[in-house]
Amino acid sequence: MTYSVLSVADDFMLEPEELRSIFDTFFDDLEIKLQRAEIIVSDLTTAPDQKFQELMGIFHAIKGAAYNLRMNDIGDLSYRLETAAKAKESLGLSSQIDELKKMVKQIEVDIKVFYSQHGKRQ
Amino acid sequence: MTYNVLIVDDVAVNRRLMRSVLSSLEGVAFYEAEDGFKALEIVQNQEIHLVILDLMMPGKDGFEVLDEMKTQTDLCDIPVVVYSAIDGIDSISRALDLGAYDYFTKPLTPQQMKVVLPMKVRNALKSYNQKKQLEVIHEKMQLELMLANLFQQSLMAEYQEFPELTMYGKYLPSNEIGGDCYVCHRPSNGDIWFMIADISGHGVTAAMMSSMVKVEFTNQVKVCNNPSEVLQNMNRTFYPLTDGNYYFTAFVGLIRSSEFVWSNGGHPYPLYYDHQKEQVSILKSNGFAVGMLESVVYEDVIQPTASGDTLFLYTDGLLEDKQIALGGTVYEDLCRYFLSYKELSKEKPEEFFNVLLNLFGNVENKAARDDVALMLLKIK
Repeated sequence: MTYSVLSVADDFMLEPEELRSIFDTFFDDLEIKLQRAEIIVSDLTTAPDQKFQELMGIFHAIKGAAYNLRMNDIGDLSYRLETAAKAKESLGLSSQIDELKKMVKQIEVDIKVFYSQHGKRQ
Repeated sequence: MTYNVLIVDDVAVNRRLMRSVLSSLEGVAFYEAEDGFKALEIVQNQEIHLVILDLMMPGKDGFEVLDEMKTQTDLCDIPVVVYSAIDGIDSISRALDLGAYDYFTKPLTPQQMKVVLPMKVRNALKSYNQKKQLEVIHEKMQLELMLANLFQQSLMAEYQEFPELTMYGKYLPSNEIGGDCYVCHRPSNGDIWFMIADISGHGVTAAMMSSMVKVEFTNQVKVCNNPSEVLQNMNRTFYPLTDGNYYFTAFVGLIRSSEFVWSNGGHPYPLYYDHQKEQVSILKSNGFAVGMLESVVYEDVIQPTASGDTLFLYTDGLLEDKQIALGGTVYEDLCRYFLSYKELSKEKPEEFFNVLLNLFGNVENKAARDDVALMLLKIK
């Protein structure tokens, strides 16, 4: 399903243009967070408690931001990843992060398309 | 006025979103903090009127920020609206226990975004504003009470000298101002009149009434012949004012030639020290408080006076705690103390007052005690 910028803007009583920089912030921040998550997941053998704790924090933050922007699929998957990190389960973490990245990419495309069709940044 | 609102969230998108949503509020400027350390730095260095605080943050979390703010006197009044995930209701409950003003859960629904969040922010700012206004009013009132205290103290002389007697007085109000008063007055007809009175209640009303009582007393002694008449006339004046809701106890005395005439309107019994016999007697008599009943008759008592005799008058604030502790033997105690310190009462009345106040535990804990007025009359 295509992500609807208009619907989100309506929810927040904002103009779509006002949301554009917020999306930029979201994707920039997400990229850094997911890169960090991948590095952590690549080696969970040393200091695992500390690393799972950091993963929990990363997915908790992604979850909150995603739900706020009505990106519920990303929010749901981040919640599952947060729960897995809390339970210190490493199995499937890497593949789920890949899935999360794909979702993010798809929404990013949807948003780009929307703005390309609805005028340029002022 | 511009209100400064601090949004604390480790996720930049959340801060940006909230700021955008709240930007419709007029007169609000925003600060942002990405963690608890930065939040505390901002509230300590900027004039912040409201904090919107995410509870779950890495490093110093929202609970620690809230806890530190509520334990610092200059920060504890700033309202804090906390928020957390919908499944974090236990966290919110804990934050409310720590002193959070209000809360909301995230993600915010459209309804919450449009109505609830701006309303919560407006309410919190309104509450902060009202609290600050109350503080200003309170400070102003305290200043006015302090000045009123100075005026009230200046109306009650600590020392008055007459050919027939010397008067020493002391007044300790429980608040800034109180309802006890004493007065020693010689009208143009030549007799020396005095009164000690205790108005029911404390504070401004009692203080206002005590001023009225003093004025009425000085008016009455110009036209009355004896203390009972003064009390009766004052009762006629004051009863209709409040239908008996405010009243006062009063002891009125008159020194005429070598006679001491007195009448008591429900006041604690004064002590009379007979210099020649070196004895202290309690001036017992019954009478209703003034202004309590519509029609009251008071009685005069006449006794001789001699040079060196001393009259000690006080209000019930002196004895209040002791009466409870000693179960009614307080007058005997007072007589004993008076005899023990009679030399001090002659030579240094001010020290005598302080000794009595200490003995009856009336110096410390000002807020807990009643008003106290003390009066010592030494017949020449």
